[in-house]
Amino acid sequence: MIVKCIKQGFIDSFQRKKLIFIFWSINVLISILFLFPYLSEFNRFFSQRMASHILEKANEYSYLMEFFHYSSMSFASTGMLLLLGKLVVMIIALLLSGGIISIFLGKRPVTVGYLLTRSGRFLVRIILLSLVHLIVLFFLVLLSIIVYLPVSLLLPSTFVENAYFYFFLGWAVVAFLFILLAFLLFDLSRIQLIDQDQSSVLQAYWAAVVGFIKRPLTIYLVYLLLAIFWTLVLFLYWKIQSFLSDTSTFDLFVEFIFLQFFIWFQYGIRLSRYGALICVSEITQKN
Amino acid sequence: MKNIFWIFCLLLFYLSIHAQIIFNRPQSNRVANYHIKATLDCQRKQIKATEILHWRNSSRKPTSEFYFHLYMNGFRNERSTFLSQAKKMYKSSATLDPQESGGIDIQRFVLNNTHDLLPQIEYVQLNDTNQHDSTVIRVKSPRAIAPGEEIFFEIDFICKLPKIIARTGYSDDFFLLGQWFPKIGVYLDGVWHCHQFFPMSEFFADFGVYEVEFTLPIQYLVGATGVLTQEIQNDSLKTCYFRAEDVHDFALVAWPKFRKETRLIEGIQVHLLYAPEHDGQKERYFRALTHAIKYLNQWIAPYPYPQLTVVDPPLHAFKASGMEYPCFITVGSVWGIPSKLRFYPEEVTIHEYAHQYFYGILASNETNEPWLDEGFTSYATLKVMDQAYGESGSRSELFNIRVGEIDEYRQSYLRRPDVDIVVRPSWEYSMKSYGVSCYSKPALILKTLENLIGTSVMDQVIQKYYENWKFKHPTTRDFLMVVDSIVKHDLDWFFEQALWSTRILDYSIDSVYAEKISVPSDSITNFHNRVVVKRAGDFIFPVEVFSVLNNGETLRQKWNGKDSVFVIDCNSQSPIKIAWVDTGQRVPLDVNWTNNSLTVKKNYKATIRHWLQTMKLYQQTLLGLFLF
Repeated sequence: MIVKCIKQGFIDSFQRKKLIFIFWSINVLISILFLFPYLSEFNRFFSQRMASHILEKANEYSYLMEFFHYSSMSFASTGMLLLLGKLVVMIIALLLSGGIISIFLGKRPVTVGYLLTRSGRFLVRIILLSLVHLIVLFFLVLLSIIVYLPVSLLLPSTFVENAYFYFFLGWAVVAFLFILLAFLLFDLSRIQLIDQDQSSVLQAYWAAVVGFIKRPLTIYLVYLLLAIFWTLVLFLYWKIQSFLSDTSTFDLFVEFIFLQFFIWFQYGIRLSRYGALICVSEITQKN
Repeated sequence: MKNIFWIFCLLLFYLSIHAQIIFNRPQSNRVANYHIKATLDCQRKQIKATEILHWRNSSRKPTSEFYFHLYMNGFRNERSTFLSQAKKMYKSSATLDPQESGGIDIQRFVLNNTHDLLPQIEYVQLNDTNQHDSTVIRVKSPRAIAPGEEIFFEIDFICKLPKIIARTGYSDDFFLLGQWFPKIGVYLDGVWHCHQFFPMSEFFADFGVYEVEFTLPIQYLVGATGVLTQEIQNDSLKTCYFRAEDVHDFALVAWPKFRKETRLIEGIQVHLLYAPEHDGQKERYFRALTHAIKYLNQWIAPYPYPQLTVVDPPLHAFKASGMEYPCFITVGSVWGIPSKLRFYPEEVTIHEYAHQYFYGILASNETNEPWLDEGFTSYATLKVMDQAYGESGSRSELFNIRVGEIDEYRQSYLRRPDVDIVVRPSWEYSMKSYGVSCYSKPALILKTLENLIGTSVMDQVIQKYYENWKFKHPTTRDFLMVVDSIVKHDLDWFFEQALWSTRILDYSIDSVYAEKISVPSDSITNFHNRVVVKRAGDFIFPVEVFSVLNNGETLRQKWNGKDSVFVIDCNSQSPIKIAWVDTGQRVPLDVNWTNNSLTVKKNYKATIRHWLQTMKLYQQTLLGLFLF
């Protein structure tokens, strides 16, 4: 059942390429937007000053380091913009989730009109649900600390870094499992909310909890395996990327194209969680 | 006759145990010689000790006043000069719980076994007006001590160790004993040099012989400045006998959890005392030490002492790391630090070892002219790191990003290139300027000097400086006189600007272009090439302008750098491609290397590469996490 649902999630997700395309376009658009001030500001450095440096094959880092030093203000503002961009992408993903889940639930083809209409219809409730989710998330992180606290008795009285490193690593794993649970409940509650068109977000959340309790291990494993798969793809990308040279223009171009495919795949995996969870819910209801 | 023979034998036996001779003949003038018997009370975090100090007036003037450092009183309370200033610098990490405070209480102070000086001990403040500072005391002898005359002091004291804030103290059951005994100041040319203890000042003392008998619980492992001549165990305690010759300080470390490994490197017994969790980094320490010892042995002179103690403190005592004492250094590392990241442990190990020369043997006044020890040591560190790990990535090669030692110095220097002059007493530096003016900027000044006069001449300068001033107290002027004696042309213009001014050195290529010259009668096309070089700073320095033409021809032109603009015009059959001032980055004092070159044509390939890299970075950043 776990494999079947994950597979179903992938099929559902990659059949709706338009959704992946929308997210990829947002990513590219924001990136290009942030590139413009960079282009105008640093054009001379890269095209005329950096160029001569490359010809001499000197250590590029020392040159770039100084460039960063003299352009620190511009870089700081770009960094702030990037953080903002990250937030914008997250908010868009949240606001469109009503429409996305409706498409997955109805097994419909993606049309922008339908996506926006359904997103608009559930917008307020999704925002309220996300507030509930934040509260649950906070309590679950707190719970992860409380559950893990007795392990601290094993620590040495003075600070020994490796003991403390493994202690915190252990807590990070526990906290990750609790955080994943919070997000799983949030996703389930959104599915419940849209499937049942529930007017109360608390009722939707409660229904999600009840649904989860019916098959906790199966649902959690589906979600966990998808998260692990997402991480593995990320590592694979980093590994392949490390084989390509930083200094060859051709390699950089190949890497850039490869990144676009990677982004497609990443969004595909993310969206597949809705399909997989809907599949588990349907099987649970049937049984 | 028989009795005399036996007495002689007994004397020899005694000497072999308690006073193993290290050097056949004294290396220094041995002005201040200490014999200290001390017992460490681990529970109370204090040392009870008796000190016998034999002191000789090596000045040409008599004196009846004597100044002593009680450095540990800097940790007595937050009103001391050290802590009140440190609090501003380190914020909460310099806050001291009264139970964790330190200090020295003198219980007996006798001169020449006859004069009790205890009642007349006077706390003095020679450098500031802080009446609460008790880091310097003054005592007076009943008569003036003539030049060459020797006297001795007997001092009983209790030293309460502070919780480590900087350089000395305890952390749990770890003890680092630095500046833990009353130490006499330096009497030079009729003037006492005995500065108060400031957070940014280090130390200055006369050379001598130290014999230290140190008693502590048996389970503790000890390391010290001197050679361990004997260890006697008595029930739960043990007494370690140390002897150090021709040094100007004595430090100790003790911790029951230490692991110890001793190796012979270039004839030196290197004792590494390390925290068990840093076992994986033991080899990194030894590799770094081997590089440093070999390089400095060749570059300056062989390390003269038979032993070196290297201390790697545990992380809870990390404030004890990165400190130098004669034949004794504290280094530092963190478990799991990647091998390609070399600040810890390699850089700090090499730096502290280099201090054995610039501070240990060339014992300049660290308080008055801190650049002489920290600046020269940073320069030596740069040389060793570059030679050992490769110039471009000596500090780090993590994620294929190569950071050289010089990049790190420049990063620090570029932040505040004109914040302060280099040569000034340590307590006069502002908080922001100490790191730049004592470490990175002097190292870059010396590297610039090396490139200006040539590496082999610079090596001669360093070797002569060492030869002339080893086991003495050199000053900036002494170093400059050595430079003058080796380099035959005048370099005052350089030192005046580099050491005693805050001038900025910056040369840039302002513009470069090629223009076709049409000569109707001539079938060959000619080009008029022009390079405009600008002096953007007020530091005047001779530079070389290097130009490359499209046909590969190169032109080099020297400029004395005095005017604000320098224009180079040349006609040739080929247009100019690039112009470069200070090619090869041989003037590390130049505050902006990014404006040193310019190409005529835009290199779109380079631009596209960086656009792609930036776009890639943005797209990856915006990707976010699985959960959104």
